[in-house]
Amino acid sequence: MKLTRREFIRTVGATAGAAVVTDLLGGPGIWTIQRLEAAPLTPSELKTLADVALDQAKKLGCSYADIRINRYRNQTVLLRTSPDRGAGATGKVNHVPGATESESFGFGVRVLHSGTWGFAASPRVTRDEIARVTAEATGIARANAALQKRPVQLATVPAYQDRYVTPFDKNPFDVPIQDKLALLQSVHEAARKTAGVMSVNSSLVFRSEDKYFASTEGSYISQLIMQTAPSFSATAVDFMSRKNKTRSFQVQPMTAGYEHIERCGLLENAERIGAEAVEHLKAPSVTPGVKDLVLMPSHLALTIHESIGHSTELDRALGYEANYAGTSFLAPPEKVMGKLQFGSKLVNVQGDRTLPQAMATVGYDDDGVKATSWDIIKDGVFMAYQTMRDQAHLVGEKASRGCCNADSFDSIPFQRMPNVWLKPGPDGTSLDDLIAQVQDGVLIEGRGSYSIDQQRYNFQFGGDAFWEIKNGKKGAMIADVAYQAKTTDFWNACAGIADQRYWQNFGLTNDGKGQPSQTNAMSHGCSPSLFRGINVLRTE
Amino acid sequence: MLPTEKECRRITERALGLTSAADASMSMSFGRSSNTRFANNEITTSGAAETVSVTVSVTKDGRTGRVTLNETTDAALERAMKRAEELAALLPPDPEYVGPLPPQKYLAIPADDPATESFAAAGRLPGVRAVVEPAAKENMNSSGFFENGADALCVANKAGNFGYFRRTTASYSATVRTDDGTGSGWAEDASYKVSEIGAAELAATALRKARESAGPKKLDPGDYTVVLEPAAVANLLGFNIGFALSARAAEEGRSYFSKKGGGVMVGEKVFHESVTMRSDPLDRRRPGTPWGGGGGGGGGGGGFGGAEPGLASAPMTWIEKGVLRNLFYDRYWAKKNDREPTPAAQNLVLEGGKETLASLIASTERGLLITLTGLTRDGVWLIENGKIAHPVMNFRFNESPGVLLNNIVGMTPAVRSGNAVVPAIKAANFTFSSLSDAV
Repeated sequence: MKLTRREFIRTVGATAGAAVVTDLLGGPGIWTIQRLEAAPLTPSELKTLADVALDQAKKLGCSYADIRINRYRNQTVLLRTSPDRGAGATGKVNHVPGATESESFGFGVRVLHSGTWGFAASPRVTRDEIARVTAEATGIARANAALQKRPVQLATVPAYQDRYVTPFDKNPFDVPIQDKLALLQSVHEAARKTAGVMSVNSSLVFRSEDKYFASTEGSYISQLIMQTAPSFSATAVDFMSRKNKTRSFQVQPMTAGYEHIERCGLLENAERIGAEAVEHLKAPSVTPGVKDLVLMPSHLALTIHESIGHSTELDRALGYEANYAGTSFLAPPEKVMGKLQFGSKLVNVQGDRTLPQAMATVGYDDDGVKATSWDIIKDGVFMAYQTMRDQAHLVGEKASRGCCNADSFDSIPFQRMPNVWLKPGPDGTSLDDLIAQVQDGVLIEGRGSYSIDQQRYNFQFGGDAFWEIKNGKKGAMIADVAYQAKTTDFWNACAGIADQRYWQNFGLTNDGKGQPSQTNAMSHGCSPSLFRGINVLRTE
Repeated sequence: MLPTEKECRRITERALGLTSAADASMSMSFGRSSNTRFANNEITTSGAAETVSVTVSVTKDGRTGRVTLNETTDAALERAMKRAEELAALLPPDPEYVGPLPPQKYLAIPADDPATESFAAAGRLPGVRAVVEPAAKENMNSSGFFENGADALCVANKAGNFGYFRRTTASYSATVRTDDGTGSGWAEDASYKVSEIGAAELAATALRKARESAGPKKLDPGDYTVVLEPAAVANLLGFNIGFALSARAAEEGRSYFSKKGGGVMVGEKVFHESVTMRSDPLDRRRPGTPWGGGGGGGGGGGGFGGAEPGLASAPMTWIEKGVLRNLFYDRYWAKKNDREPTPAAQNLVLEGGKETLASLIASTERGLLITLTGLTRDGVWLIENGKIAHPVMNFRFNESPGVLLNNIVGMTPAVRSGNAVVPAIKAANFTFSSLSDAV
């Protein structure tokens, strides 16, 4: 049964009780989600609903409240090509397609009462439920105030009434599924041209967040964030040696539309990726030792994420994540901000929620703070942490860096990583210039297995593909490479960064943090970079 | 109140009746949960949420479309079912489709505790105080997480299968760090009964470990006898064992249990003879769910139907006295092998021995006692002549779980830890590759 716009307004605008939607339980039972899907809510409808929470919170004595009313849509199109049982790498293969769509909608209310946070959420977006949930959040804050030593302090923020939409040309949800599968099919055919490729996996993932935020500071903000993330990989297996290698085409996930899929080179690179999976399987192991590394953006993005992205999160530095994700070696703040030589003078790193097409780019964060960018590392010196509103005062800052995020309407907003990217090197530095400086080294592409301690200080990274560099020239593929270093030693060993022609914006779609655990996506753009004298291990 | 079995039956019957497809299935989960998070000896965030997730799946001519939503009105389910039909029509047929899951017999697993469902913020406060207050008094820094909730889960299909399961969950964890940043301790427990979680005892363990791990000395990396506490064992084994047990991965040469030259290692000795590893959904220490993955018409062949719940869980022995007895066969791979599918490898139980942690330490001439892995974390101590000598700095290791399970010297009885039931293990020749400065 579809509701008309008029009926909707009646439901949200008047007293509840008149069940507009007949549910399967025969009445508006608590687990029957009563809401309307006929059309997106208009700004005035959203404001009407949001004001229920804000008014209720004020009535209950809250010093601050915000409500997020969010709708999330996901579409995943997948293809797996793998051998039929016993067919091995040369026999009959099965092409197994998949298409799933998911959608969720609901609201979360966050309040400050007695200087303490409280939060509650529900998928039932009605006036009565919003009022009930606001009272529940307030009750939680009041109960917990007994254990609050220092009242929560929020950095000031202007009131915004605004709308932000990710710039995109083609709405990915409007592109026919058949076109998406046909593309993946041709990618798989190209990847399997090299004998020895056993299986190929690919996926196209699209996600939209239709977000509405309102707070007692006077902000009413709506945003539409669109994310597009393609991927594919080819696997080769050698039964005699019990070895297998998977080569992935590392594609940048982006806040963008379907145009990104059309331009990202999936098909153009497919045959090469298949061939490299087979080549990798046959490649000799690395000779371990101290070597120079040339790290490509598809690889270096993860090293930036783990060693710079996580260590510069203020909540980690102050112990707020000690029970789960960990702490940071970059502490205490007063001893490191503006003082610690994090890297060589070449290293300049931005925290940024404004960078076009990057995964953590938004108009406003989930505190209602306008997106911004700043120096995390300037000329090698650590400058400033990632913060949200309730943290700024802890490092003597007046404004939030805009790093508040919740992965769902029913998740508690907290400090999450923005885009953290490395600025390109001086004009005129090419990738070949970097390679030419290396006598004995390894060039690494893509992500492999890795580990890093909970303070983000001692790390080990593998990769997806490795090439030997000898006497200034890139040679053949090698295998079983990992490198190990301490974060600050590693970044201080940065001896060259290619210029902006080589800069690429790789990122992550699934970074976990917090309890209950939440995921987040962000980009770590960089140019190929040269690191001197790094300890290289053989992992086999 | 979570929906009852009767209410779920009505929802699924109505929804499955909305499609003309002979093969349609649903899975639903309804949950309520609330939590309290604390750090720096005070509460940081705390919240409560209700969640709904309904997935409908429709197959026509071997083509399957799937839609997930978080509502249960007639209108929404109709829309979802229609969209799933549209998606199905747009796809090529799935060559690994094996037809709808026949009606299953589900185990009745007791895992529902009303007191845990109704536990709220005020109820969690004493557990938070138990660590926050002594930590503050000792000038130490505590952080942690206390969560409880309840779920109603349901699966149903048009071939007549139906399952309903109620469970509650509660978990508590605490980390305590010394003021100088050189000591860190941790303790955790989870149960479907919140009354079984001894917050005071866990807090005392975290506080003691922080105190006793402070001021660690440097020890050279290399080969050591190790005594791994159960949490370290669960961490180390949890990662890959489920995947390694996949018959398909093993046959395709992608698993630890792949045989050189092709084939699988079933019937061969793969670990030390003291290793017996089972799945037991009825284990009271860590109850499982009545069904696992592999319920989809796609056969769960690592295929995309694999994630769909439904195939009945049952006790299974994977490794018996060091010998690989069974691998996991999803419905497609089972059909290809002309055999019945296997229940999924869930809530693993590694049978223990008769030692105690104290006796494992007492019999160790020189070795290391380890709280938790990743890199080692939250307390590593040198054991000398059967006694704890002093705390040592953390290590990195690149050791295979297979090496650990082959070098076992002794074990305690198994206890619940994380999603598994595992003992503390003493093992020889565990290789640490380098020191880590992090605490």
